Amino acid sequence: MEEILIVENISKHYNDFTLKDISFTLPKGYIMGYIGQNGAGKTTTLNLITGMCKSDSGTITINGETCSKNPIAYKKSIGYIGDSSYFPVTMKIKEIRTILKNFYPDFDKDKFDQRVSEWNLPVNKKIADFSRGMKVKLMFAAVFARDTKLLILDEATNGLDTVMRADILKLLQEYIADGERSVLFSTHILSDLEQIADYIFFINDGKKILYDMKDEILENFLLVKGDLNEIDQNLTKELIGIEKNQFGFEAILPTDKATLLSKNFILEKPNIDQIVIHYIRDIQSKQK
Amino acid sequence: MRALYFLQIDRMITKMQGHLIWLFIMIAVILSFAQKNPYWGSLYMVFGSMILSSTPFTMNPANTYGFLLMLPATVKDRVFGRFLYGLSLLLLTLFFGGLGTVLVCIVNHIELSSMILIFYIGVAATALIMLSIQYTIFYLVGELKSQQVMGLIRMIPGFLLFILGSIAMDIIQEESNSNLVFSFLTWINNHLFECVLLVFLIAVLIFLAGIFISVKIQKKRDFG
Repeated sequence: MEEILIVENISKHYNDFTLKDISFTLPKGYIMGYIGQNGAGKTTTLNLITGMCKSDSGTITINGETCSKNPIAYKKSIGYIGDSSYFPVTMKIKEIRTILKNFYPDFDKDKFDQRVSEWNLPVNKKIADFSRGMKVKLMFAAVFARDTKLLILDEATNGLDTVMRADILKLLQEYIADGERSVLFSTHILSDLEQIADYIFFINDGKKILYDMKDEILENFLLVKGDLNEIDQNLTKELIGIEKNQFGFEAILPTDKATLLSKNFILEKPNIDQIVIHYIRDIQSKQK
Repeated sequence: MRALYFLQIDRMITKMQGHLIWLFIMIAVILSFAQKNPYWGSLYMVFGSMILSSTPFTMNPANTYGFLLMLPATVKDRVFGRFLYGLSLLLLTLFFGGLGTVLVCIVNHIELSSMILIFYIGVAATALIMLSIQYTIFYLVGELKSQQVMGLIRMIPGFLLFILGSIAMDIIQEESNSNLVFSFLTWINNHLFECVLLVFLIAVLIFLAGIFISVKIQKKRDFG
């Protein structure tokens, strides 16, 4: 599989936070969910990938280019959509179109206008007067009118209604359909990733916790429920994020440790949400 | 070419404020005719362009700034484009200032002498130096932090000129009986055009140095 994005051992140190040795690759034609709590390092990673800041170590390559060697080709291959509109608020759509046409030779004005018309975006209003949904749609229209290789979404679906989120997920699947482009999708809304992500990278406190294909992750864990008194010492060591409730406990267990379980436990297939929540609980309990 | 596109972006972002330049031009022309002074209005216009030239540094909130940074361009393109924006405002006001001066002279039957050209070259040089210092300071402070200290930064070049001018005046007054100072001032008077040209060349070098230093500063900067 040819990789569109290669992140190798990137680190970035700030006064109160360190991103440490993050590595992953994203093949062409796939979607990666980049997940973690607030302050985990998601936006820092995306800022490094988009070239907004420089890493202290490591390399990032998109379509064979690095930002330091060829910033123009590198940035041309990225389409970025954030959680808030980045267009100057005093501008109207025609000015955005002019800027995009100037900087991106592959910008398709007709495609852009078609999307603007399809989504009923107001051409005579300033961006400041757009609703949140309109601003997100405008960012998508701008990105889809270009020939990008990597689409980066940083919490882009936050605060959008269900219909809009469903439309966006459909757009993302269309985007990768030709097998030449990929999506890196950072989000809190893990149910969106369950639907479309092929890979999951879970980051916490600047470090990698999990990184694998989504289906593999889901296959590799069990959700275990049962009576607290049934847990022996061997099992305690392997259970991740034990949560006590009125019925007993709930925790995640790697599938290859299932032999430690007796028949008194209830086993279920967890979703990504549950895996992440239990991991976070586990980390927090170890920090206490 | 990309630098010109950034100039265009700055003009788009400062569109509303840009209309003020025409107000400055109008007021300057009216004052020039009222005072029957061919120079005063031009100075006022250039002063206006100095204030407006710093507007792009103050018009970009953090998320908009991210959009500009992600455009496929080098640091050199962005910085050069910004300096070109300031230069374009200055050239606009100098042009209309010059036009206004010629009109005032014709209407008031004032002779169009070479002093007018010397005056304009001197004003252009001074304004170019102020612009370069102002922009370099904005880049040093950081475009986002600049918005908090904008007023202060705008005043720095003017203060510098004022302080240097005051020191020069003090020296001249103290040494007014000195032959050296007298000879020096006489020499300048006899070679005014050459001196002003030299100052203009120095201003151009300072402008280019300002771009160079600002590019170096921006290359080291993180924006995340």
